[in-house]
Amino acid sequence: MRKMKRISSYTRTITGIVVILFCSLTASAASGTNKNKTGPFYNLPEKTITSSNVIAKTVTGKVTDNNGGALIGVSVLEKGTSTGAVTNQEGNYSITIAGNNSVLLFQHVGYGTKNETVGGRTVINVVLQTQAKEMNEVVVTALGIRKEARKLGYAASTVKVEEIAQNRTTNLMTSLEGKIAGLEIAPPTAGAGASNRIRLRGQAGFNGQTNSPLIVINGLPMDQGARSAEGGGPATDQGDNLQQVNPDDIETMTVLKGATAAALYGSRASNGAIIITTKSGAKNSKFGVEFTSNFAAATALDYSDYQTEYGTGSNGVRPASQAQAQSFGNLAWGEKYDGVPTYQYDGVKRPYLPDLNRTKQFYNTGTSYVNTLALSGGNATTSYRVSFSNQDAKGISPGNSYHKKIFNLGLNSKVTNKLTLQANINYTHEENNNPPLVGAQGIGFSSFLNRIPLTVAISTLKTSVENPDGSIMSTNPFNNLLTNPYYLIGRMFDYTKRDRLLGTVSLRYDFTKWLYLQGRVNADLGYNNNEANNPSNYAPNAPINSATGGWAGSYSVSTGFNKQLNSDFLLGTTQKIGNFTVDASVGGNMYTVNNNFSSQSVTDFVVRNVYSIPNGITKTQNYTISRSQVNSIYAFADFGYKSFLYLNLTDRSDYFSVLTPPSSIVANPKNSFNYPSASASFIFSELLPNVKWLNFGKLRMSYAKVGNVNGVNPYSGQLTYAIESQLFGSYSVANIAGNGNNPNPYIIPYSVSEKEIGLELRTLHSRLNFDISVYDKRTDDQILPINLSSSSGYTGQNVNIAKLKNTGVEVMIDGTPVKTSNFSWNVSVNGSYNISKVLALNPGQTTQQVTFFNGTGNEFIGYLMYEVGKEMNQLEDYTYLRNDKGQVMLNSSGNLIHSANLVSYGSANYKWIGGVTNTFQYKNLSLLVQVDGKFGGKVFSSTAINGLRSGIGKQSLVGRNGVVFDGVLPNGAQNTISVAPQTFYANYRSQNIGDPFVFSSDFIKLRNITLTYDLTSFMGKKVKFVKGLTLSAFCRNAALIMKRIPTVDPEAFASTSDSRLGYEQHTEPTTRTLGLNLNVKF
Amino acid sequence: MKKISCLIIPLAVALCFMSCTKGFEKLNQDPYAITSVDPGLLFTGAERNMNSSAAGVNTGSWDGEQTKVQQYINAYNAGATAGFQFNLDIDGYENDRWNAYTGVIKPLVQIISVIKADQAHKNLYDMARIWKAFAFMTLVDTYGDVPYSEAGKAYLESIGSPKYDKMADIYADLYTELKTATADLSASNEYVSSDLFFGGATGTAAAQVAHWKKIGYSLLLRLGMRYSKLDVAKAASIAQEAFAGGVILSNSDNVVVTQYNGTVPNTFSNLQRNISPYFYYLAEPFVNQLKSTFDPRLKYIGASYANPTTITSSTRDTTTANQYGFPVGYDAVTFLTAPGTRGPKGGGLNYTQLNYDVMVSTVAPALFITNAQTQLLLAEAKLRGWITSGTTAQQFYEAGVRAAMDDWNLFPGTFSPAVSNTEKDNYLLQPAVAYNSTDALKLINTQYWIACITTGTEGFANWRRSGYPALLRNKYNDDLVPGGGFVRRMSYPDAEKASNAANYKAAAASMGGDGITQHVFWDKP
Repeated sequence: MRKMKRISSYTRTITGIVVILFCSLTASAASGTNKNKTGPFYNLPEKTITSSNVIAKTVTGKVTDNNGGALIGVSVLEKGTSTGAVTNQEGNYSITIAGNNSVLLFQHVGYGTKNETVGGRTVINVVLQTQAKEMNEVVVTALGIRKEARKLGYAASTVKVEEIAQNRTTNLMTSLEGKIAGLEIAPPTAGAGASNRIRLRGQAGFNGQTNSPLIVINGLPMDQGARSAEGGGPATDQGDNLQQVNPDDIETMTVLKGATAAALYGSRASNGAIIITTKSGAKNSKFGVEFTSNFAAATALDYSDYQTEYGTGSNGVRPASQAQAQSFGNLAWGEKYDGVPTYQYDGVKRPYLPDLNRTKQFYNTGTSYVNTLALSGGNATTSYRVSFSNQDAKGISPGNSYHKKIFNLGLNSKVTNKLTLQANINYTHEENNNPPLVGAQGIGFSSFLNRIPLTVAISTLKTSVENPDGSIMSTNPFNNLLTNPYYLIGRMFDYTKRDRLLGTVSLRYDFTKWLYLQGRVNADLGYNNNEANNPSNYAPNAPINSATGGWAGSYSVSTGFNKQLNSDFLLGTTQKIGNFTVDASVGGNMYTVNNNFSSQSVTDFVVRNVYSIPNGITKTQNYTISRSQVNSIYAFADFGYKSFLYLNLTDRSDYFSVLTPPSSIVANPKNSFNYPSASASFIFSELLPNVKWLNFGKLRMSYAKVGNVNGVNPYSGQLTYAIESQLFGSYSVANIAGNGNNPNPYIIPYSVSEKEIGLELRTLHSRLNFDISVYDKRTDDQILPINLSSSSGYTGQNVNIAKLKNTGVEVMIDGTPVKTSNFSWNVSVNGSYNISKVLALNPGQTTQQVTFFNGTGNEFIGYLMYEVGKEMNQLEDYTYLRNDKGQVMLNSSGNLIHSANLVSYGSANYKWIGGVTNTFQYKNLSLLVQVDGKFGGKVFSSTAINGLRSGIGKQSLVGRNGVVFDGVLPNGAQNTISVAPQTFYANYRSQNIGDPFVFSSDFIKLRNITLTYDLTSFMGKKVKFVKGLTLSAFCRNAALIMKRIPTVDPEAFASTSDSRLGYEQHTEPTTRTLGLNLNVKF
Repeated sequence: MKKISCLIIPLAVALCFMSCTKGFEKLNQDPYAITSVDPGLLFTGAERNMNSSAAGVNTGSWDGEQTKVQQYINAYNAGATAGFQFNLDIDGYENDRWNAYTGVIKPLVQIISVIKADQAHKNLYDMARIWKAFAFMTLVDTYGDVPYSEAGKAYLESIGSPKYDKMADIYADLYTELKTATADLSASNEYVSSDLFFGGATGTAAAQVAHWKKIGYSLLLRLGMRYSKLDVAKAASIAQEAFAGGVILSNSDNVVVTQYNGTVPNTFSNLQRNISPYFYYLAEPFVNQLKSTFDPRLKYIGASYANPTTITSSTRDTTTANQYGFPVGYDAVTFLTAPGTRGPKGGGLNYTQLNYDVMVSTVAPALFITNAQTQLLLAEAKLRGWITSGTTAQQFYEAGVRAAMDDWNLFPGTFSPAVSNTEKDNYLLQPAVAYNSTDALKLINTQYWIACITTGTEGFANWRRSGYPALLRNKYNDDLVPGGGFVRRMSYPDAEKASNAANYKAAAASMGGDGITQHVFWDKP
């Protein structure tokens, strides 16, 4: 009750202030317009004209750094005009200005700015001081507020934007892998347009919740929105929202790691936030054109290591007929390869030999072309930037392509002295065609290539595809799961088109120097369209579905329209009283989601090979809407003492519609949550001016609590019924809706609270810098989808019960061992250690099954579990049954028996993640070399178990003539029974024994080599209009330095979701990318 | 005007934020959600779900019951496909029956709760109770102790981990439920048009109630007969009570789902049909029984395909003399060492498969309770002197055999009639079929075994109860209890070990272990 009162009093106070401020804002804006009959945009040019009563003159000069070296490309501007110049390769400039009253402004990235009043001079030489930039670095923090980095009491990392633009990846985030301590990026191998798994400081919520950080683009908060391959059936990855950002458009990108940093974004940012601002041109800049062109080629990496001694066959015998070649088609339990002509599935006898280099033969070279053109400019009051980018990419899988067009507009205008308008629009059109099927024992190309013995050549598969009647020619007994890829290519399609408009309009009114009001509206509109089919005559047994009399197959088309609106206001003040400074703000936010989705699908067709809704025999339609709203109010204050002590306090309340069930079910639901944060920054170096080696030292501490309802769907608190879309004969059939989930109307938000301590040190003239953070992040009242006993009628229910914690350390070290005027070497090291631990589940419950990899589809072994007291994401399975002496116990036939209970093989989570980036700069040439690695995780390899049980893997060479397993028989005697390997190894699956298939997923990769040559100085002499020209060449995934899992790349996993961690299953191969990047500025 | 707008806009904005949760209740309601529904439509689903691949309750499963009673075999010992044919306890094959809780019991418990005191749904209420009793009888027969009194109540009573009730207690309660629900059915109450078996657009409560009373008493007869090894007096008394009440005595009273069509097919045999048909064969004891008696049903049940891998495109041979069952105790590798092995054929093995155009067609009916079963149970009851009837045991027996043959009239791809009277007469003259009082028990229950080819749970229960046919032990992985080689129950789903741990442990302890050789209470060793 007390809390409620407090909140409502807040509300009243804020409302009062807002009403007053809004009135005065509109009133003053109106009065301003009345005085000057011209509009606000025309004010300043007028002024310029009045000040230019003096005869024009030309000023020349040289700009140097503090070592006397010439500075190239320094911008020289005549203040208050749009006149400007740039220094050439000798550092010289020449500018024609209005007259002696003019003031020249010298600006250069990484250096301080300088104003020079011209007076009577015609030569003005300027020395620009190197900026100790980190010390005064400005960081974009929550709500788009720019803060000096020194004031922050929490960890925030700034991304080097130019690096990600040069070393371009189709999905922006992929290029951040291994670059920022505490940020785990894992790109699945799922085609040209795939998503990423993004986790900041570990996984804060259980599976089923949004555990990726909040993405904020120009103040527009959005979820990562990973449309990942969940597995359990043929699955594709359809990318995520970060694909819709063009790296060329990014001005700044900040990673706010902890809950404190993100506390102001409220519930959606409990996993940290990535803040992106896009460019909107620079004030006082000439009209400029920038063109970037990027080409990259990707080749499949082949780590497969299959046995090449035994060919297709069963029980040690090769196929004696076409029919046998088909029914043994998935087994390499045949005879030794001897070159003797032997039946293959198409009835042709070919030499009994392995076909090597299957990966290279099957996969194409992927390509990507990106071109971006940007126009920008600005005068004293307004700046703008418009860009257009086009990408055409082809994946390595035949038929896979990805296209996107991004149009971006940024506008920043000081409408009046007091009113600032900022607008950004980002429109994206994406087309994702035929993303590869990954992550399931399904019809994906990679699954087939990994499971069919090498005896069948790619060239055969390519030519012997279909029977005369057009149905698939059987290659193996499971054609509907192990489908000849060449049958699917050109017959099976999956097209997604996606349009997205992100728009932000922000108005800021500065009443006085110390008081402002900001109002902002963000719209996120998305339209998705997907069309997909399963081709007719898929399985050889059913070209025609006898039940319907139609050609078997299916086709579906679905469209979704998503609308998210986010509006907020912020009233802020800045005060300085003696040694104290105060920045305080109050604000409110309303976030609404309105999505609708309609789908139509048909199965079986009247006319063959025509995929359309009318041609389908059995039709299903659906239309659903999803809507929700979160209202929030918040306040925050930053207190500063002198320039070394800062304290930040925030408080926020969120009100959730999804926690508001009908009042007939719960009269007074707890649908709101209030949470505070506090952080402090102490710059102790300010107190130690005599310690010469210490250039900067800062200690920071923070505590924050954030509430979250991730994982709670709208309407989920109420029991509803569903009518089956098809009549059963003449009967309608109803079911209880919800897929077995028992509705729980009593869900409350869960909370993430985080403590953090950090230390920043800059020494040796800032040439050796450290940043260390230690954090402890706890999640309480976690919304856990518990499994109910299905005998209760329901299989699961969400409850607020579990607790987990993430603890870790992050270190960033930045050093410049060598620095001369021509050469520098910079090393940047980042490393993090994180442990996610499950502290509690439902009372009395010690384990929670996340995924049973044999229960969700046609997969094989193992479980992903949460276990109280253990690290999160334990991989578990049965092991060998052993007696007291530790001997393996076999049954009377000499076969395996599994243990009574599941055993844990360890966590799928990586504990150590790190990277080292070396940057060498020699004059205009720079070389970047990045190495990164991940350590401490475990993985189940389905490629290994399939390889063993089907005789394809090298492990299956053991016991070819009979497996006499080292163990004891039920009578206690040492086993001497020889079992056919085909039977023996199959028992690993039937008994669910995981031991031989669990591996460490550790790796070290030479991730990235980028060579950049700045040709600006070279061009400057000959082509005057070219202001800048940079050419870079890069190689991504240059080498896999260390790995422990056989046959596959440890990064070859399928899905970015948290439900399939630690399970490797026949993904597309990983790729090595070589590319060129050209950037020209006019 | 300007003055006013300068007040209204900020006020409106402020009010939006101030009224923090106004409208949330309405916003959080799905406009398309159905929050109450005609309970009859739920009943339709519960009736149908007694058979489906997702919630196969009474029809059994090919790799389950039909395999245990040696009618059928999955010869391929390829990991997860290994199951009861190799005397293995594989979780995947043991969960289907348990799905009755989500597919059948959940909607029935919901219906019963909603209409308990509803005068307009009195007959539906009783029908739901009868159907629920049927589902629980199958669950007890399959597993033994199971959740009963607390089952299906996660939503209604927040019971997420129901306790297991003792199997004998459940049976006792089912007896009461069946009796009272059947007696309560009344022609003066409502007509349930949504009843899949005896409902429809036109019909009368009187006719429907008459049918459902027969269903109730037929189930009561089954229930009584289950006690035959355990408590003869009880078996006799319940059988007589059921018989006197009026059981199913005509195929037109059969409880059967016939509505399967192209849009909503019978998915019972989808796995066998679609994935790898060459894994699956009829078992030798079953084929030999039918073949040696020139059983006219064999052509509908089994077929020999030219290539076992492509059952739709290759020619099928249904000639009785050409059918061979796969030897029990062997797999697709070791069968080559079996006496008289028939070796491979095409991409598979040279044995009889299921007839995919008739018995396991996608539009084949799902039989639940049939005249054939009732007649054969009555034959035994009469033979044992448990019922008072002018009909002799032999008459019941022969009527049962004929009724079982007539069940095939409902299947696609059969002659009309499926089995002619001449064929039936000839069949009943076969030495191994013709009634004789000495072998009567064996004859009756062997016919029951055949009649239950598509109702596996009933076939398995009756085989355990009667001991007929006397099957040879399956020697594959024969590590079962001494004298075993036979699977007598299914073990609980592995999921119960985690989601209902305490109750699971208690039940397993009470059962004497959660294996596949424990006996349910009426299956007295």
